[in-house]
Amino acid sequence: MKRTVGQLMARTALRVPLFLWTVAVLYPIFWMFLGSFKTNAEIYSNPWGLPETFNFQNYVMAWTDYNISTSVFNSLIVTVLGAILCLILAIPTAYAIERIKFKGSHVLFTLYISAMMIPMVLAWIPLFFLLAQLNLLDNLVGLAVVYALSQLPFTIFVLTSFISTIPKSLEESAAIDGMSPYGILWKIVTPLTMSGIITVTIMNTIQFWNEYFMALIFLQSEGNYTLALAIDYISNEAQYTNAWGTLFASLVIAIIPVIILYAIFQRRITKGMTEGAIKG
Amino acid sequence: MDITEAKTNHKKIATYLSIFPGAGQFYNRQFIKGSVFLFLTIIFMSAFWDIIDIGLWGIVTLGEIPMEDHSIFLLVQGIIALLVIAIGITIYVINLVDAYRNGKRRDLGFEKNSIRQQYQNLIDTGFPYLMLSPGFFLLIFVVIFPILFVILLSFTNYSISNSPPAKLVDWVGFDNYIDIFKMDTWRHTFFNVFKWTIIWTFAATTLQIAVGIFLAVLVNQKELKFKKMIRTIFILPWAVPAFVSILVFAGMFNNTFGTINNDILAFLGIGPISWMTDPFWTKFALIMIQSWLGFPFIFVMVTGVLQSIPNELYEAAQVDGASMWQKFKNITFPIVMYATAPIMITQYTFNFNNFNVIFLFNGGDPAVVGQNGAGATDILISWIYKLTLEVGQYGKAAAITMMLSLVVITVAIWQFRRTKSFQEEDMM
Repeated sequence: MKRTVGQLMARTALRVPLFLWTVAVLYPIFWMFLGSFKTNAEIYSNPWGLPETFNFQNYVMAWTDYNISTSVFNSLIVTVLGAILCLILAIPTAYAIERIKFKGSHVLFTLYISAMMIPMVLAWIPLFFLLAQLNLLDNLVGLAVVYALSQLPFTIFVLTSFISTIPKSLEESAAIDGMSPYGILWKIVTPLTMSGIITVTIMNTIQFWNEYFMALIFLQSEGNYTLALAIDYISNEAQYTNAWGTLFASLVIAIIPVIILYAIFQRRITKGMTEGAIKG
Repeated sequence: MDITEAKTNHKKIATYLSIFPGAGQFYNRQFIKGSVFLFLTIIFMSAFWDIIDIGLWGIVTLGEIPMEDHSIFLLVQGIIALLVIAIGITIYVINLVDAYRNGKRRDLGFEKNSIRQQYQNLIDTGFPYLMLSPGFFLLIFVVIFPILFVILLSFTNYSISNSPPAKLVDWVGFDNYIDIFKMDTWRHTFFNVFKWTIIWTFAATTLQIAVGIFLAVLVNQKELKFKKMIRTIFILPWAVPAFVSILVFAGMFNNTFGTINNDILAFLGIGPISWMTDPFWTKFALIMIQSWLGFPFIFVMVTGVLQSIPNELYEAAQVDGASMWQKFKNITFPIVMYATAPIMITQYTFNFNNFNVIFLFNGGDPAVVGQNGAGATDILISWIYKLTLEVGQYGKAAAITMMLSLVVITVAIWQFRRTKSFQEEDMM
């Protein structure tokens, strides 16, 4: 009898931290969701009660008055363009590095790995001047190019590990049948790496969608603001206008696409992340 | 065969001729290749001559007439000129090597390749290079260019009070570095910021790793129910964009209407804490927030490792009468650490440069009197950002960036070597 009591206590003791941490994780997220439906008065007086009426006023305000609609569109352009460009550059490079032994392939791989370790922060100011020189400042395409390149080493890194799992015999037999290396890359390797391509693209997409600082530095006019910039703008305004509800509403708008992506691809993302990480 | 070897010395002649690009290839009777090299040279010269000319002049002088010459853009052009020259030299060397090789083939009496073969050759051996060059070329501009720029900038006196177009920037040698260590306010600020950067890195990272491992082990208990749901919840902080959660936290920790003071602490009977204005509590809050933001990654990774540990190990320990703690200490922890150590180290370097949390939560504030542009919670990277974009001390900021890079690169090299030896062990 005594033993079971002891076991019971141990069991509860082990579950308490889990429970507390679950609360800690959900608390800020709920707080934000609730806040997005409340008026300012409610946020101040009764932060935890359910909103008296679920009013969507905050969302309407965010969407129209604060131009979140334009920003969503801008973010979409930058994200899609960046992700595609990154793949176009990364797939051939990853294949060449992984499969073709040529002079300098090892050096190059090391170079890409080291590029991965250089914090992008160091590049912000130099890139600002470079983009200014190239007339790409305050330009969504310019930002997309920078995004794509900033994730290029990581993308190559992940893709090489996926390509390395394709059996070499497939490529060899295709080569014997007279297929050119370009054909092999396009018709055999790319389709077989598809799962890796999807994984890394989802990760890049989320990364680009969430990126804030490069957008802050490289974009200037309000019409070009990405979602993160627009929200930061509202957040700064909120200190004076007290538009906290609007801020929460726009935060929710920003989260929803990401949460949907996660919900659909959760297994793939965690798998890709851990595989890449543990192998690396 | 002896005769041909004595008679011809095509490789030498071809190489010498190729000092004028393409000529050696013509001599080797590879007319298409020769024309390509010649064509490339002409294009290169005509397209880049001005850039190289202005760029080299610019990088040496940084401009001569105020209002007309913009030193910083001249510096940019200078670096571009250097990169263009490097690419040009590479093509030139390829041209020489090619002439030499084909000359040698002729010396040895091989037939020259037919145009078709040449084409096939170019396509096949050139394949990896063709695949690599677009990405690599662009990478030069995003990685190599910024590095060169920061290095060079750290040797100039570029600052908001000495900035183009009104004034010219000059080379000042090591002055920026010397100032940081010699001038009291700079030295004082540098060491304060550096100290907090180190504390921040170790405290925040160690905590997030500890939380991640702890929770992964708890969730991995066999008899626990709702595992899937708990795992999904624990990954949420990872799914929410970091800038969103940090802004939400900034609201929650708000001194006046924040829920931490008004609800949680009030519920526990603790008076309000000035999270945003008291340096100690701001630092405390930052470390807590980072553990919230950073643990899911560790959690997911460790869960993966835990699931791969064979059950027999624990059963054997059970037979030997090992306690839960002993099992963790002697089986779980070593295996987890062995599998994930390299990643754990990257977490430290990540937090060392974790600009987002510091800057978005409270902008490095509260402010501290007598510190050059740095607030109480600024880490090196956010201080550099402020020095550049708010205070306008560009030269100094570049010098500090160089010192920071030194730390990061040292750790990166060390870690890379470790990872390599790890992988080699695995191979055996």
